[in-house]
Amino acid sequence: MKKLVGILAVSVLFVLMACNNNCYVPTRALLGVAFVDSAKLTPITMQQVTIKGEGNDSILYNESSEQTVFLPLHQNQSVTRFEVSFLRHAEDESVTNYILEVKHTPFPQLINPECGCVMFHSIESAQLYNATDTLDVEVYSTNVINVESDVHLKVYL
Amino acid sequence: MSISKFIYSLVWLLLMPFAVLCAQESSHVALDSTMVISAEPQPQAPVVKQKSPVYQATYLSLDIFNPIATAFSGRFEASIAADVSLWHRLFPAIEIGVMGCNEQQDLYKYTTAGGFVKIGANYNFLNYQPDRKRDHAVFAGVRYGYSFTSYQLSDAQLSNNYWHETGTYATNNQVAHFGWLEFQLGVRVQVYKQFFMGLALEVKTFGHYYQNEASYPTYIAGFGSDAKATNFGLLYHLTYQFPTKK
Repeated sequence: MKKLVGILAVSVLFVLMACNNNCYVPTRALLGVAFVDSAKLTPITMQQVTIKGEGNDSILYNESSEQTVFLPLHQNQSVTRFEVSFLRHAEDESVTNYILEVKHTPFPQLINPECGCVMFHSIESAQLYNATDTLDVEVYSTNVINVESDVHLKVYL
Repeated sequence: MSISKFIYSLVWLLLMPFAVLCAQESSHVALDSTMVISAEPQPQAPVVKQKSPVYQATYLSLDIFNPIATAFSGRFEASIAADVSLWHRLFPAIEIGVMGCNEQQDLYKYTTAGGFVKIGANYNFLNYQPDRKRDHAVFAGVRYGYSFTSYQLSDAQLSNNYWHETGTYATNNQVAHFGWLEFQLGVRVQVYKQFFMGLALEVKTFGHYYQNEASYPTYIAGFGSDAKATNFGLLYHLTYQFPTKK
């Protein structure tokens, strides 16, 4: 009888675990952009980084020091642009403004019934430029999925 | 079926093979006080070791656990398996199965269907003597599994707070090819004549897609969800033995 109760308790535990309705994975897919020293090929921290989406008043990063930034992409369009500014060189007195243009293909993905759907993206190309300068950008990983801290673009400075 | 009835049925099914195994009759020869013991030592008959034939039987198994368990989750998965007894030690095996799911939720609709095949072998640790009375087996096994799963998402309601976007999205029907390594540990008990019952625990790991795509099926036929994790499974088999002619 005691063994039966024990087995029953374990079985109930397994059933309860299977009935868990919580979501334990990220439910956003953000584009990760890392700044890299082009000579040493090591990550560098950029100063006074300010980023906002083109046509959007909400600021994603406001004059902060960043090594990697994570940016939301359009889910209804295949091109997303961000207004990016940072100190191009540490000794500069003012920031330099750039446009980050990312071409991508959005597609919906069902994570699981608990977490629901998330819009993933497949990166096709990316550019970081202004009127006088174009920075070297590498598409390091093409799949933008719900993994936190994933790097997809590397900007060489 | 309510949850409590399902639990009681599961416990009964889990206990059945072990109950039959423990109920096996043991044969003992009892000494009779009227037996005459000869004073002269009897010549010992030469011991002849019985040779076990290589091929002993073929087994056909039907899993009844997964069809019941997956019915509660909105999916359906079923499989049959066949294995061959070699010396009652080694059991090359093959298993084929199907999976289907049609989820209709408020925020999305998801349909998936697929099939899988697993090939491998089991190794029996006990009860392999040629003069055994029953064909019970306690085994460990390994399988390589392959599955193809088609999936399609439609009517997915998604929104983006930063860009203030909302919409309804869908994908085309896609197919994923997936492989994995599987380890099994189980028992098979001869219940009555050629009828057996078996229970096996599966550990499915080293999952890998055959193509590198960002999109993936939420359920993989024969493997489960979450391709990156190690998945556990349970098999409860009703088995029929096709014995050799004696």
